[in-house]
Amino acid sequence: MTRVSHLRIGCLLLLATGLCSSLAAQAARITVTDAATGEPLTEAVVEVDTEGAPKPAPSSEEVYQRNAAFHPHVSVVSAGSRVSFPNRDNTRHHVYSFSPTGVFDLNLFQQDTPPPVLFDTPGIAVLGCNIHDQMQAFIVVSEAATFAMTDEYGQVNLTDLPPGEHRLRVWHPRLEETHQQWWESPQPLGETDVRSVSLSLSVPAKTAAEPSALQQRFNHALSQ
Amino acid sequence: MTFRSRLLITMLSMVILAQIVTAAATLSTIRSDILASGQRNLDVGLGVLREVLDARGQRLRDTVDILTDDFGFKSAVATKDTSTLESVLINHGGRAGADMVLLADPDGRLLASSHHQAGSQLPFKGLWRSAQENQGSVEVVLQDGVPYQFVLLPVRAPNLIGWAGMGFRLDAELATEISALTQLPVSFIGHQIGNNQASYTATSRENLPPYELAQLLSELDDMGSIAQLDDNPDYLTRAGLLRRAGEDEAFAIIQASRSSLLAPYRDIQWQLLALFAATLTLTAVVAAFSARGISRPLRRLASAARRIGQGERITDLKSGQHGEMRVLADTLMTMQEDITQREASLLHQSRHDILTDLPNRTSAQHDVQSDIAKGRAFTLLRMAISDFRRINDTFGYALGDRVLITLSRRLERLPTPTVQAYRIGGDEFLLRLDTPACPPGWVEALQDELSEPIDLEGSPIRPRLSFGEVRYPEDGDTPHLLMRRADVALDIARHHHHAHQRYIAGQDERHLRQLTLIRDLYNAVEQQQLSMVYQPKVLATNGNIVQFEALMRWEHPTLGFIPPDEFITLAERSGNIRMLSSWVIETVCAQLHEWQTQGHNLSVAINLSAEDIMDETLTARLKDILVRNDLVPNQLGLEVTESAIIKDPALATRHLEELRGAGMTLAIDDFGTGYSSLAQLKRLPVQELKIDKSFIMRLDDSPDDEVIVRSTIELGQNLGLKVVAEGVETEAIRRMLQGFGCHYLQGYLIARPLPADEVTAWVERYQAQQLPIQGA
Repeated sequence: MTRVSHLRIGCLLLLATGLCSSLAAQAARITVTDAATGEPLTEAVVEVDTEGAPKPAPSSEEVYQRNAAFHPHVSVVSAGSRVSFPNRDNTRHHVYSFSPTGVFDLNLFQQDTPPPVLFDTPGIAVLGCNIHDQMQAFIVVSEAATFAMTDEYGQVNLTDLPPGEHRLRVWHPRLEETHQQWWESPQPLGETDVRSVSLSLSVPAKTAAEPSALQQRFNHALSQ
Repeated sequence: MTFRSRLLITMLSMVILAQIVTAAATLSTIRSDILASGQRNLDVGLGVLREVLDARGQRLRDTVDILTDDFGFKSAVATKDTSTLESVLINHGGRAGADMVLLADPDGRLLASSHHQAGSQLPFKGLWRSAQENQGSVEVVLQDGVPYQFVLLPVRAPNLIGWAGMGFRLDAELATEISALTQLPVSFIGHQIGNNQASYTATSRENLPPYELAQLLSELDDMGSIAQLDDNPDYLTRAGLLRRAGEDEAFAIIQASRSSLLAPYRDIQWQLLALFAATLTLTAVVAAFSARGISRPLRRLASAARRIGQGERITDLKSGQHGEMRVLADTLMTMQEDITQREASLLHQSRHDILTDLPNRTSAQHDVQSDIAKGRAFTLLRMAISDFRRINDTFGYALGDRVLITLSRRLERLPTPTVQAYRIGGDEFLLRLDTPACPPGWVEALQDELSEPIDLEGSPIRPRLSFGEVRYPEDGDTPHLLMRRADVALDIARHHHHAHQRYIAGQDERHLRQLTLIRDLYNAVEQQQLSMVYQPKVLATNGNIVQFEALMRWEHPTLGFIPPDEFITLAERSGNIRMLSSWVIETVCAQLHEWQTQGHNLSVAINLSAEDIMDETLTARLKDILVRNDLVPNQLGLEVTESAIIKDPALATRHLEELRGAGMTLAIDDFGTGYSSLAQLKRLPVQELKIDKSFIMRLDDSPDDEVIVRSTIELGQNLGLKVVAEGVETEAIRRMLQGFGCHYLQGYLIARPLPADEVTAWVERYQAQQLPIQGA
């Protein structure tokens, strides 16, 4: 993971060992915050790879389009999983990804559900819609033993980590523009560590998706 | 220089000066205004150029944005297949009309480029940085010295998958487009600092001449972001730096043609010139008119003054003159009056005697001339106061003048036919009568009238008058001749103490002869017309030669023999007598010396005039001459007349004593004709008395003369003086004189006056004859 050194990310790492060990056995907690603001970051993917540990089984997921947006915005799946892209809008969508982890494009008619797409290469697939530029979604294809996505408090609780050395890395859509890079922890994660990961984000937060003036006109017309 | 041209020059030079200053100021202001507005235009132009470039950049960016957003493009980029990428770039670049295209991966490594090696790092680092920060950027960049407007945009699918760039050359088309907006020539130049060759030029002008380019480049080397370049004689130039990358630079050049800027200025110049010419002409006309207004009356007055000077009489000088000119005209008129009066007064003075106010000699000559011209007979009377000098001497000049004035007043009331009286000299008047002759008894009546006693300080004076009369045409036909002949007649009248003498033909000739003699006497000495003759004086008792009397002779070349009495008198009157005396003394002494060398020791007496007697130096001169001629003093005798002594007896006596003391013999000549008193005679240191020959020559038949001669001889004897009888011509008279006891005899009986060369012979002959007489 040489990319990490390229990223000029200042990391603040707090180690609080031996705290609350009686509360939950074998659980690590990681809190991801924005280094600039100190706010907790939701939708951050935390991946802990433990060598020799069994990989999670592939799953089938769904990223549907609704109101010209992908749902969910960030998905994390294990390698070999299939993701279907049902269109639940009244409009057509042209979902595509040029990311190395999965190159495909799907012309989706209204209420159309194409066959699911297989993601068997680890990496981050950046999804876009050729018709609606603002639509964006990420599918993190992980081959790690453990991965999770932070909740609204920017936290993940990792229970029952398999024994071994735990390499920790974190990804967030705003980390950098290619969306292909991870923040990698220089120190392995202990099984009961409570860590705080502070990420310097180079991609500005998208403001709450206010519909464009045109969109508003169209919506208005539709509602009548 | 005339007043007119001076005024003209003054006014014109004022106007020219004012016009030049105004024009220079105006033109300079206008010119600098125009150039300043040109500069402002350039500023605006440069601003517009930048705006246009920015707008174009935005447009290009939009164009490129659309292209990079193209799904096909994105999918091609996603392939990362070089040849696919190149073909896509060519295709999409072609659509946008780009001159340069490139594609780089998100890290800036070139995937494909029309101008760069694939795999190399993205050039235009600044642009890239800006593009990273602003989701794309447009800037001017330099590639191989060529300026491009370059759009660099991220390619998103939808994440950043690369950077796509398209460059659009700043070409002549763009320059022309901007030029159309700004109305100013626009150029783009790429060059390397320190290199005066442009690496790139694109211009809206037909071409950029190499020299202009070279000049521009040399000036651009040191510039900041904007340069104002005014060295170019044809254009005002403003350069804006578009990009500097290392040694390479790109500029936008915007220019304003000076000739088109200054076109209105040239128009104004011509207008000003025309205005200038018009003003000058107008000024010249006005100046000429006003100068004429002043100089014409001046010239009129000047001409009037000249005419007055020439004696013309001007009457209407003042008409049409105003102000100062009228004053001048008045002055000229007054001057004319003054001149007329002064002329009249001068004429009067020149024609009148100041003392008596009678017309003067000039007037007389003038009137006589005009009478002659009329051809009528008339008579002139020249009148003199005989004893006027005595009146002056006695009563003084003031009273003398009163006499003259009184006579003048009387002359003004003359009985007819007197026409006019003139005062023509000190005591001389002229009366002009318009009758051919003086009426009988008229002169006598006149004389009675004029000779009424004049009271001079209680002494009644009766002026004695003499008149000389001439008649025209009998006595002369010119005023000069008539006046002179009247003078001659008057002279005769005065001389003979007549009251009235008419001019008699010939009188004038005698007068003229005297003038001739006086004139010629001077030359006579030099031309040896004078000679000396010697008349012996012998002892009455035995006839022995005692002395010779030297007598002068003048043989005039045309008038012949001139009697000594005549020319000596004239010499005395004309002041030449001393010259004659000197000549006589020199000649006689030289003669005595000559005789002495011949063995004849003779003595000679010479006659001295009154002038000689009064001469202080005479004694010394005589002594000197005697010594020079080796003579003894008693060889020289001196004879003086009574009248010579009588003028100043005391001085004469003193001089005679000196001469006597020097050893010379002295004699009183012509004794008996003067008025010398016996008392005087007694005091005079003389040894001889010479009885005038007028008493001797008729001695034998005039008892009176006999008495006089005998008494004189007796007187001489009694006073111890030797008596000489002159003019002894007969034997009878000689005997009488001998009987009276006269000492010396002189006269034709003994010998007539002898020329010098005959004297010695005569002496020898006489002495030879005498011996027998003595013996007898």
